[in-house]
Amino acid sequence: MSSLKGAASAPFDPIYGAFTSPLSKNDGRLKIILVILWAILISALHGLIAAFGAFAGSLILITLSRWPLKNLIKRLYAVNFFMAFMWLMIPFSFSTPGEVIARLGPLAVTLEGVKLASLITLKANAIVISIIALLGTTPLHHLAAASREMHIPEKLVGVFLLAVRYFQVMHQEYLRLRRAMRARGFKFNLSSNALRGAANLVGSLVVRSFDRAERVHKAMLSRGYTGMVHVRSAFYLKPIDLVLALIILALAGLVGGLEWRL
Amino acid sequence: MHISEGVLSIPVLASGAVLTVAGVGLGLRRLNIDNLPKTAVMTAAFFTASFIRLQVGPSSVHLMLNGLIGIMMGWAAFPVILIGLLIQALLFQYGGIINLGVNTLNVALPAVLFGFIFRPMVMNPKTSVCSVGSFAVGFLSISLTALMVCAALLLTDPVSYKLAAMTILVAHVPVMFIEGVIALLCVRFVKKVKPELLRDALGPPKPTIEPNS
Repeated sequence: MSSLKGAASAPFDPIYGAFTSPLSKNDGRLKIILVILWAILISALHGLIAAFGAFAGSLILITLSRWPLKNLIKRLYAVNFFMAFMWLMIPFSFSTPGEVIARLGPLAVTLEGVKLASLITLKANAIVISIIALLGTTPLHHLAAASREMHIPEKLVGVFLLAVRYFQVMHQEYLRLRRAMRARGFKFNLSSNALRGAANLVGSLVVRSFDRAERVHKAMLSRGYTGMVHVRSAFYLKPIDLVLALIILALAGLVGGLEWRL
Repeated sequence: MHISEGVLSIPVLASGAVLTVAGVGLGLRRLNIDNLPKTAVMTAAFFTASFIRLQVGPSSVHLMLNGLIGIMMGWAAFPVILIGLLIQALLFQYGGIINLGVNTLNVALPAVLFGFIFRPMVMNPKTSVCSVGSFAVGFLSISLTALMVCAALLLTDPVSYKLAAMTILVAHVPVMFIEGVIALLCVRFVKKVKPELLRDALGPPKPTIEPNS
């Protein structure tokens, strides 16, 4: 769970959206469809070789996107924190019985266990890397517009767009409130004082937001809000979209071949 | 704790997605032009509040607050939590896209369920009844979430994931008490400061502007 701490410094990473990657030019709708297909394929894999192929495929995609390596590694903390937790249990005979390949003191490491742990680690990283490569290179408002084009309910898209916007505002407010509490010597531990402080912090965030929401709503109404959230982005398929689709379908074909032939 | 990508099997992922689509569909029926901005701002608020972490021994836990969301939002908890988790997945790579259905269901279903069950107790003007109700909603929501995370892991692989599932459950026991106490204190705070928020957070806004006049 400490993973969020590392990520928390990068919520409004200027790289997100503002970053121009070769994949930024691709159609948002196509990228959503492709990333979902690719990730479903990876989720269905059982073979270690195919999972390795999928991981390599995702690395090709992230290379195409020219995502900075340092930032990529930072973004992979969360998923690998969960995987580290799984590695503490799955490889051993008490979790996965099978052929013993090594002993660590009283613990026996099984071949099946190591295989399973490697499989889920490869699959998880492959999916996350492909999400970064395809969706990370699409600004959030383009994703919203693209999902509306794909007949995702208007209300859901509207909530998404406004929530992204207000999350940025509120995160600043939260940091300010917390800084004020810290400055008064407040410690976030399990004392009754701290719990009350944390609850009041949650409460004031919610209450302030509620008041803010009323103001936002009035401001939106006065600007002619009718339930539609307008986003400026037009979608049309270009030759580079065909190239991207072909690359991913070829990779998917290779991975599928590895899974179901070998 | 959200389950990471690549761990669950396709049938588990698909069932989670189908149930979440149904829940979100029901939740969206509660949203209209007037409470949509409110829902969005509340989504952002709850998501921000989940950044608050408390030191527990050498480690720390972050708040989930799904009980509180259930009390305030009812079925709208589904879209609220779906969007919260989606933003988390896109900005922090925490959770995921393919398992968004399972993760949303795990957090939102307990919120809706216990929100409905304990709503009358939370609204009770008697402090003792309200305290018990709001502690229970926080405590039980996170408990059921932890159980559902375990169930998702066990349905995927009942042997290899067993220990991991049990560890997650045990690790959540202190979190259950923390969430219960936070929900209790939070309800008390909101009742004091802005009681109408608990009564009906998504209700009609004050008739300050008539859309067609």
